[in-house]
Amino acid sequence: MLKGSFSRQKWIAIAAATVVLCGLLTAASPAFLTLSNFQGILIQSSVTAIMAIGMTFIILSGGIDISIGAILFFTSALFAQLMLDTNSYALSFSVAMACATALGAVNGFLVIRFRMSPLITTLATYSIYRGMAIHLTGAQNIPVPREMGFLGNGKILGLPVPIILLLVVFCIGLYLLTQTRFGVFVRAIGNSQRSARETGLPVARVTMAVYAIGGFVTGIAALVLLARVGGLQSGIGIGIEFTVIAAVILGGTKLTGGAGSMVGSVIGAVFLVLIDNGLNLLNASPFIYDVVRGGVLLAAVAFDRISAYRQSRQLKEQRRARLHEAVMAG
Amino acid sequence: MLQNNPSQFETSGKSEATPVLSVRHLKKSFSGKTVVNDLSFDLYPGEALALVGENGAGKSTTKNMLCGLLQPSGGTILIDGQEVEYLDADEQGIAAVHQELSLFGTLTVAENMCIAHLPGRPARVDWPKADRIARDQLSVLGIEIDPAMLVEELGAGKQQIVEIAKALLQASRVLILDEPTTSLTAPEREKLFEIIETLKERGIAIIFISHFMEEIYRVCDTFVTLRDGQQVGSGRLSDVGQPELEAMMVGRAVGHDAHAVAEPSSEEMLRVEELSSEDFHDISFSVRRGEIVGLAGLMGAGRTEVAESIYGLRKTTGRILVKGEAVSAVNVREMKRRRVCYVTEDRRSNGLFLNRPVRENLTAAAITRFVRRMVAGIGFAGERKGAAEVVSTMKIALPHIENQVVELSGGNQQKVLLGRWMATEPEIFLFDEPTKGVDIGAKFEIHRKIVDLAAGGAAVVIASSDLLELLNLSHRILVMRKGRIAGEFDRSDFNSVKIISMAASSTEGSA
Amino acid sequence: MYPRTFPYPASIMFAPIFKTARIYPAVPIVLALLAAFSLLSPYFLTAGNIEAALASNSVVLIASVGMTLVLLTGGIDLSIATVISVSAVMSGLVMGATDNVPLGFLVAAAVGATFGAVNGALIGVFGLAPFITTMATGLIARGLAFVYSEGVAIKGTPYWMLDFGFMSFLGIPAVAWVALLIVVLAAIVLSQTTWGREVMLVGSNRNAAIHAGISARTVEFSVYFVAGVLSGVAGFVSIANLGNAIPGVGDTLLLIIIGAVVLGGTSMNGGEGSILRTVIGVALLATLTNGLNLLGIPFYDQLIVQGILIFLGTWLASTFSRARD
Repeated sequence: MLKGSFSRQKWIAIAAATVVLCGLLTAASPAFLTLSNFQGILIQSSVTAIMAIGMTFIILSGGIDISIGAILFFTSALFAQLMLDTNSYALSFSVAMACATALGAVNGFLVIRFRMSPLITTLATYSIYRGMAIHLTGAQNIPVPREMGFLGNGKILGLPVPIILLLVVFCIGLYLLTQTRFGVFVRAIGNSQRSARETGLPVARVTMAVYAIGGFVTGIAALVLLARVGGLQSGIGIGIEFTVIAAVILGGTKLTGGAGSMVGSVIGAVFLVLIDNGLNLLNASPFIYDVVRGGVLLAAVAFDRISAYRQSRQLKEQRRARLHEAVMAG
Repeated sequence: MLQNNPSQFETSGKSEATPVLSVRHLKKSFSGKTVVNDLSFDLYPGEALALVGENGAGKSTTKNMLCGLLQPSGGTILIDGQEVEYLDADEQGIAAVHQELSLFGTLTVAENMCIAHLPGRPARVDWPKADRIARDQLSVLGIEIDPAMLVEELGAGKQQIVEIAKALLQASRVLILDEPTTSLTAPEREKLFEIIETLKERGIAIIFISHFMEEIYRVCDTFVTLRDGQQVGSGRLSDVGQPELEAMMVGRAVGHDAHAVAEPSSEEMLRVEELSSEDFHDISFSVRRGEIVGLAGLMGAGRTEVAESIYGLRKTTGRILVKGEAVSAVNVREMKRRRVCYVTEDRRSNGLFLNRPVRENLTAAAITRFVRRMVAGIGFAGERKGAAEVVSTMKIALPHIENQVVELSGGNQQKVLLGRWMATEPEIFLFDEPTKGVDIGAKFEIHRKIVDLAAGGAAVVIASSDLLELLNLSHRILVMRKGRIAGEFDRSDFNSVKIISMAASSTEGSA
Repeated sequence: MYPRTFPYPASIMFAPIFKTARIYPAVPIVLALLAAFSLLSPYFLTAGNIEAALASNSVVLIASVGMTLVLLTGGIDLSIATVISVSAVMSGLVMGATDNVPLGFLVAAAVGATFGAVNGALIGVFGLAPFITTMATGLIARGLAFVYSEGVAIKGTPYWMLDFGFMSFLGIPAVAWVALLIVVLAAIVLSQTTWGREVMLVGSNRNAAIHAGISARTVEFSVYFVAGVLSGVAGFVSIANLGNAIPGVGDTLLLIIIGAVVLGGTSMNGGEGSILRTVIGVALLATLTNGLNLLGIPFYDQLIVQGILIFLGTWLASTFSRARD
């Protein structure tokens, strides 16, 4: 009984893998096992982890959003440009965040209203948002004021700001998912849209909401990234959508929707950063990162498939045994 | 014996003057085709009404109208004697447990049960309360299920119980159960019957849809019999014996279509020995050249699974012999090579390529036959001609051979599926529900075709829930029940009532 | 849209018009664009412009053929773009070392074939989900492309390759002829062979195909394999176009490839589409890009137009096909 509910926690696998990896890294370099190093890793993973929290909602509902990299880019560009023009934090923050959320909501609206696959829809918006972003800044790099650095490198009560933000977003996200009606609906819709409609759940509203959430957290991540990097650079966020999706999948969320773990997504993001760290230790060429990431993802997917296959085999055996019993009895 | 007067119900022990639910001349049509016609009955609080009929008789449609999922095309529904324009099942306290479960597999039992009305506030679900609600409901059913378990982890039986428990939460006045015992074990079934008794005592009315005669007589007070969408009988079960009820269901042949069935030869074409899998056990029978063997039984008895296994779609233990020769590796390719073909029961999901033209559907099983040999493997010479030939032979009505199959009527779609297999010149045919959803005219033609095939030297197995069909066509009928062959009838001994009894006996033991 | 409520004779009467519009919804858009750009820019309809456009879109066209096959079976291949890159890199390295162009071609095709085989095995045989699997192999391909090239363009392209990039027959660049050859071959194979028919049927209804005796696993393996090979060829061609093997050459093409195929009218659900439709889709995006370039529209604004067009075009195509049932 206990085993059943324990192994049902989807994040166990990625957590175990992370622990193992930490062990390996410590063996390779004792300096690994320090608090400051852990902090550094968490800070490094904060951007993708924050985005992964939003992506978890989207994938749980059975959808996907590959335009988040462009939303990230656009939000950064908008904020930087606004700061340059108005030098008002309040205005820039609020407008940038509002836009990020709006872009996400637009994705949701298009998915629900036009009923095309989320993949193709967000592929198209990826292009549109990216174009808009570069258009906004005229393809130039824009620095941000130094105070922004606080967001990326400062500390509150001894904890680095990005980690605090990650914690806050995580707690809110976890609460939404597990304690609200909304969270239940998200998972139900991801499991079976048909049943959800038949049961009378507000499918359209929930779908738009999850994409809007994705946009919102991407906005936060964009600001953190801006702060850490020191300004807008071309090529910001390229390829990040795949990292975020990988983190969510590694964390135990099924791409088909309905089942998953927010904890797992965050751990997945950290895991990917750990891999980068490990490769760094090995003095591997920076280009090999993608190869390893891809390999890890493949391994995770294959592993998942094997265990699903084993499970179905087991079920068949059980049914066969029960049938045999019933026949013997009667 | 044929009683159609709703007021016959007034001898109820619980003397309620007003029925909680009534229908008068209820009718439902889909694009011109009437599926349910002129249905009238009363349902009183504290009573259980059995909705009886064969597959396709209209039970599901009626159920859907009564639980608010379908709008009737005609007639009226009355709640407490008052006519209702638009039935809001939720408001009226009517809930249904459908055959196809609508649970969310990745959610817990408690979440599934409460999802329509989650306790607490929208921003703060009261999970302990949801757990309590679920636990209480389940304990009422006396079944041990942990509400924290995911639905997909439960077996089919337990899932059905969860579905019932879920419906009970909403059913304050009327509970509709559609084949609720198909996946239940004997003790679970007993519990269900106890619950139904409790509900009746509390004044809740039940509509019980089932094939199983013992259950109907055990649990229900009144009945309504449907056949081909018409109401052919109603009244109190105490006034009608089981054989009479069964006879009402089956009735006499509509539009006499008995076919002259020729004598089969002695050559054995197909033999299966001790076939077993997770769906059936120890299946053995043989089919001779020119013989038509019918496979009768209820849904879930394992007929489709047996047919699919013979064709090579499923793995089994046991032996399959074609023309006396044992097949060592049973897979689709091998069985096709040995001239076996399988016409699936679900033509939309497993049979037809709905968005492809009729022509491609007709050649799908033997594509290579139509590839021109001259220029190595290029070109489909003769495909159009071959397809057109099949169309005329099978008398398929279609606007154009290039049209998508989805545009054809059910009967013509089925003919396309049949026609496809003709190109492979099979010697052993496995039919699964060959005339499901097919109009009378096409049905007759398909039956004629099947008889011709047998007369031409093929061995035919027909799995069907249409007993009349089997009675008309088969030389022998094998009755399957819960994964086993319960008995066999020779054409000279055909007795529809006995066959139904054998198939529907829910107690273990011989017919 | 489709006059289903009309009686027989009228529906047959209207059928051809609606049928054409349904099957090739992109055609009127292409024609409109061609007309618009030729009016807006004097350079649009010149031989030089057309030649250049044909050459630069050959890579996309070849890769799109592979993507079409995969989409037809109901799957997707996100690795096509980066396999183009890694094939180009490997091919460029070999050619740089050996100065042997045919060998370079074989290497490119082999690299593509390897990735295709891996995809095909994982998806077709082991049943992994296409999206995540090809996303992963795509990452691996991208990484390898940069690892082996160390992030820079490969030097040492044989002179013959460079010449090949400039060759032209009958006003059409040599690389475009290669693309055309592949397109024609693919169209014939898809519509006239057993394998091609099986591809369509598996995509239309996988279960029904299995019931009819078609080996869905083999078909699925083969489309990913072919897509891989074609990506390799596309990578090879890109060297001729650009003069060097560039490690990031394919990366930005994913959107264009998928967009072109879906825009042309091939359904992402499988079982509906054709090579011709993909050609039209590629032509559409090519016309758009070319025209906008000539008008001096900056690339970032082009991205916006591209995205909108892909979205609208896909929506149109799917609406028309839904009207069928």
